[in-house]
Amino acid sequence: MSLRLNGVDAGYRRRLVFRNLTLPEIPRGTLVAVIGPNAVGKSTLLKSLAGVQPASGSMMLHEEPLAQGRVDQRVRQVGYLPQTLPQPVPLIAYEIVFSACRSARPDWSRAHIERAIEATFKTLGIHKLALRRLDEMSGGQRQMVGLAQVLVRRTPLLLLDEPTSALDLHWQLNVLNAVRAASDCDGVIALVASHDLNLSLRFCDQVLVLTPDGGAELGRPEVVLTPAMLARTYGIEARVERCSHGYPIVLADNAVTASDYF
Amino acid sequence: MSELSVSPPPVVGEAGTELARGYRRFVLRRSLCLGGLIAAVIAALLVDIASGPSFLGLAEVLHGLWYPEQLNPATRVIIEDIRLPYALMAVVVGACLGLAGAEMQTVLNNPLASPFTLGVGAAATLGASLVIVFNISFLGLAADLLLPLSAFVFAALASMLILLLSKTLGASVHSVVLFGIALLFGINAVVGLIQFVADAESVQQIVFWTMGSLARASLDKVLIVGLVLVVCLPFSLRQAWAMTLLRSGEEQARSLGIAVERLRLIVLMRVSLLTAVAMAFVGEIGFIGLVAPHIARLMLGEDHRFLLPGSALAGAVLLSLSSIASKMLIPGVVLPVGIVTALVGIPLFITLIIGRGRRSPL
Repeated sequence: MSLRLNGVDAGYRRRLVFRNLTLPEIPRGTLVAVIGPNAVGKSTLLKSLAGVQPASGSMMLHEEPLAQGRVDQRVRQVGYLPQTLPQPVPLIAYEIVFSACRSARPDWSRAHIERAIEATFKTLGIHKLALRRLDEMSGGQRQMVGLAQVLVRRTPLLLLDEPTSALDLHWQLNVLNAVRAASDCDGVIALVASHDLNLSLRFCDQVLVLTPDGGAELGRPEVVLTPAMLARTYGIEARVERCSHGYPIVLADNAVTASDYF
Repeated sequence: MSELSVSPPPVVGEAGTELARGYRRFVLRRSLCLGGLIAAVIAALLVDIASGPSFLGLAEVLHGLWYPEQLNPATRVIIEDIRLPYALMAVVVGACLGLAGAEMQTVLNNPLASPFTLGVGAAATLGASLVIVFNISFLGLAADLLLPLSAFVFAALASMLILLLSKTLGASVHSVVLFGIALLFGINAVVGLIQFVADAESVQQIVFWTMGSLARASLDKVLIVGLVLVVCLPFSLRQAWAMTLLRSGEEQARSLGIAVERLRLIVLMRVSLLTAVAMAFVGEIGFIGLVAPHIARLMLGEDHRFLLPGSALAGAVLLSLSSIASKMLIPGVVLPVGIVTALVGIPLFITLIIGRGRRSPL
């Protein structure tokens, strides 16, 4: 099982963000960190793969077309976490996760759904939030519930758009541990867009760097992530060093003139 | 396809389904609330039947309903032609407006939306006025049928206009309501113009319509409104999961494969139908569609499996109570019920706006 992108065009009606994007095959069980500066198209890429934004070209998950397929097939294959948090409404956490299952997996029995929800809430460590109202939760807690809405469906492809943007360190690690476990145990392919380079490097197998000129580079972190690459994409002077555990860490020293990057 | 699906979730022991048990208790509480609302509808209906200017008690009326042959003709007319249709009409119209309001608030993601506040009701009035004044006959349809039809067409047009605005301007909660108010004024001006050119009898009919009154209710009209409600409700409930997910977030709903635009369009068409049919026989009745969903939401939360029927029931209770009040306020006089709902509804509407202002806007 693998994910293959070939000649993908994506973007908005007036402005294409990607033209002819082609990536090496991403194998089963790979966690890919999608990084790049603001407005470079991280969200656009994930949305196109999720089929919520029009795109053309070939996007194949295990020889099956992704976006062009039927909607009920797509929601079984792709779990997409949008960047916006769930709204603060009087719905309780259990309800929105339950409705997500009912809507996306009409073939699941009630008992099956209940087991899936139980397991997901346990994995994410949000048991205590299950019967709480969304409008009485913090932004971070709602982000966790939104993530539960996606992970509960146990899709073979996960597309997470900044899943840790509202979370403190404890929950950031919790989330990435859960995604890592899904990749390792179930062979899930996960694309995680993030601005937190060091957190991403700690967990990912590969890095996909999107550059402002519409380019993309996919590879192992130690190969792709170089000071030269960081200067080109983010406009920063940075060092890439190794921590005492052997993980690469990025130390940003200086911003080069920002005007070129917007 | 089997290669694509991930292994099933690990089987958790009996103790592991504790969340599901907690949720079941939660659902049970809501079912009880819904049961309570049904009881309230029945109670309000009975009191409504039993109240009126002619002094007939509840026992007498109930006895008369079971054994109509034992009644004297005058009492029979009062019960069967006035009390019963009047009370039943309040229930079905209230339920239609409550359901329409809840659906409209969900798809427009706007707690101030309702057929009345956004001018859909006013558009229905315009459609009805045109039929009344110009005595239009179309394809040989009777006026009784043409009037609701024309009301529906205009209500649907108003809904489309609101939808278009929300889409093009990415409208915020307040700008949609302001647009609704502008629409309301505009339509009222046109209705005023029509009244100006109309003859005295038509003007009287239009005024009657704009006041909102149950006085012309009859059992066959109750049947028509009830039928539309019974047909619409299952379709609403079929979309309950989708609407619940839409409330959790538009992007979230889209990512789950819900065609949000299509959902909005279908729901607003249904709202127009419910509004037009409900208003066709009783005229404009404001605020039920706005307030009922809020009461239902406080009692039942936003799981639309409960919210939608709950809002319909709350609407039925509210209009039933208003109908009782309209007979009690001035002894011996039955006020148009639309006046009562407006008097009660406006303070509630203002409370909602102030409440929203205090909390952070969406």
